Amino acid sequence: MSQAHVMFRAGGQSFAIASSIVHAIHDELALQAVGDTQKWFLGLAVADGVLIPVTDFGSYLELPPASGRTLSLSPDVGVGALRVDEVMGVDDTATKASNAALPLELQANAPLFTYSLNTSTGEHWVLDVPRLLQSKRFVDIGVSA
Amino acid sequence: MSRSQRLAFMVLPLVLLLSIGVLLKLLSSNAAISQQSGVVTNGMSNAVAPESIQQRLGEHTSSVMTLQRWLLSGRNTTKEAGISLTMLQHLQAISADPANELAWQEYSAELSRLENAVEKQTIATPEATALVDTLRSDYALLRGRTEASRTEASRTEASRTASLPTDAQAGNSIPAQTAASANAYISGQHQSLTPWLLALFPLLAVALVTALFLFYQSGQQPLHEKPAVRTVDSRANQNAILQLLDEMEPLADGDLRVQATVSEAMTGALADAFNYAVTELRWLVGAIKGSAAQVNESVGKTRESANSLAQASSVQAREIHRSSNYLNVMSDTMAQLSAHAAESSRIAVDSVEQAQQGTQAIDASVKGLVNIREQAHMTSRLMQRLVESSDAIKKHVTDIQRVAKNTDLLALNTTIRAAAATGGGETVELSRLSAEITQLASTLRVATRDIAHLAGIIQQDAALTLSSVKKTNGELDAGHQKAVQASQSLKAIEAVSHDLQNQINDIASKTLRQAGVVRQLSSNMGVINGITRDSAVGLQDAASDLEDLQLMANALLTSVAGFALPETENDDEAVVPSSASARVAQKVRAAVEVDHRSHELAQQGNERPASGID
Repeated sequence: MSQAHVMFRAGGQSFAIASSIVHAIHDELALQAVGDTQKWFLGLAVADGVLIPVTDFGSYLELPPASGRTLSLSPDVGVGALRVDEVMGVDDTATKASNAALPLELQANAPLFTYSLNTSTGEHWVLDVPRLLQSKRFVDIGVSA
Repeated sequence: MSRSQRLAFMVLPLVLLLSIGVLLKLLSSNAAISQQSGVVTNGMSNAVAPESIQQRLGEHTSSVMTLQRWLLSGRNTTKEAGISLTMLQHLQAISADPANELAWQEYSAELSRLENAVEKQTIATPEATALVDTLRSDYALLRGRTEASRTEASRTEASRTASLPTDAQAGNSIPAQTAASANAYISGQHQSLTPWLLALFPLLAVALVTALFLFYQSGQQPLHEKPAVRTVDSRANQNAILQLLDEMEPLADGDLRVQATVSEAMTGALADAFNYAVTELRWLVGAIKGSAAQVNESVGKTRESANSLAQASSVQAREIHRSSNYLNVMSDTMAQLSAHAAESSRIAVDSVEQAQQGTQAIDASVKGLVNIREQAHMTSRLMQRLVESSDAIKKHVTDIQRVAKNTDLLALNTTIRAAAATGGGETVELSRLSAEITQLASTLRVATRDIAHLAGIIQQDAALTLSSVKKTNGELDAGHQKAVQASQSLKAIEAVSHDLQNQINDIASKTLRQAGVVRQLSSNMGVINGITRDSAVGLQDAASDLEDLQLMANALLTSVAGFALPETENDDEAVVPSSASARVAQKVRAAVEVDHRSHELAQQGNERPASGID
């Protein structure tokens, strides 16, 4: 049995995250904006009793900003949440795509996407969440004066 | 027998016969003229017979009875009808005794009361008014004739009394009745002529008999006298007689200019009497000539007038007959108009009924429209509630959509949990739960979408229906208003038709009544036409009789034409006897006046149509 992935779209692109990394999917979260932060940092929100920072995944990828649900990441991976446009479901039947070419829009963040999955809804690039959380750009949310 | 004796025997009977002939001719001519005049004037002469007065009284009584009948049929003329009844009673008394002066006066008083009623307009119809006028003129005529008849009767009686001895002495066999008739016609003439004539004739006879006796004695008596004296006297007498006979000889030829010599001889008195007789005879013949000439001239003119009047009366009768025909046509036309008006009235009644039915139908339609409008309002309210319900459903659909979304989210999270499970029974349970929740979320999503779609359709249909109902309500309101206006219009038509029906009924009634009046007028015109025809016939007869009278006057002139008269005396005497011709002209004028009155009555009938007794 293959691993299940959560399929979603953000900034006009299709992505996938291993379901084991996702803690929950939230419909609406009450955000508290934080000043002097990057524009893709939406603020802080409380989810399931835990204060988590929320990042606009589309804006972060320098794609159109996302406006849909929020995927909170598993605490085992790190504290954080990604705002996406649409969660398309959980698919455990997807298979890795061979010789897939990363879209031009994602070339700047190519290290975050190592392979893609072919599903019934199309090709989804799998996000390397640990790498994302550890990347300097992602961590450096403050705006220098 | 000597020449003078033979001449005397021849001339004296001739003179006697001539005198008798002239006298008889004059009397017979006068009698004939009198009889002729009675025919010509058709009872209008003053010297009318009693039968003519009675006939006239009968006609007058008929007129009064006609007037009484009209007055009885009138509305406010009962009193006048009583007056006319009293007049009839007086007329009965007058018929029994035309000399009853009191009855005449009372009749005149009653007639005056009727004339007062005419002046006060109590008697207002043209026929009755004209008839009252006619009664007054007839009364005057009758009264005058009765007076004339009475005067004539007394005069005839006096004349007969005066002439009886003379007639007996002269052996005259002319009836007194004929002499009275002759005297009655040319009264002015015969009053002066007849006594003189009757006196002259015996005088002439006595004179002639005396002359004959003397003549005979002159031839028979010489035996008792001395021869010389007898011879001288006889010769003187013979000479005187012969001279007298010579002087009288032109008289045999009709020469009235003769004049016997009055001398001391035995024939002096005879010559004086002869001269007197010739003078009277000259005056008489001159009067006859003058009268005959004037009668001839007057009769000629009167005859022309009578002919013209007869012709005019014929034309008038024809025109009246034509007018009567027109009136008949008018009466028929008015009767047809009345029938048409009655038919129009019936149509108007149908129109009123139709308008009433239409009003009832429109009232029912108005009620139906009101009910439909109420139903439409109810439908509109229901539609409004349906729209509101659809809005409520949409709100609930939103809630359900939210639930479905949460369910979907729950399914995702459950799926993520199931995927994150380490294995064992928990994984299976989470997977099953995730699948059920996912199916539930899918079902909810589909159901919510369908419900939202249906709610949208219902709301849209309800909105359309509501709009349609509102539009229908508007049209219903307009239809209701128009129906109310139509109902009011029909009621107005009904009222107008009702008024029209009344007007048409009034027209029909008045037209019918007018047709009756026109018929009555036509009948009156027929009566007037008959009178005019009778008048024309009478005038023609009068003209014919006047022609005969003219012939007689000419004959009279011819009969006295042989008498020679001195010119101066003839001219003087010709003027005297003008009263006879004047009377004839007066009688003809009276006939003309009656004809004119008939014409005026006809004109009044044409100008003012009879409308019955008011």
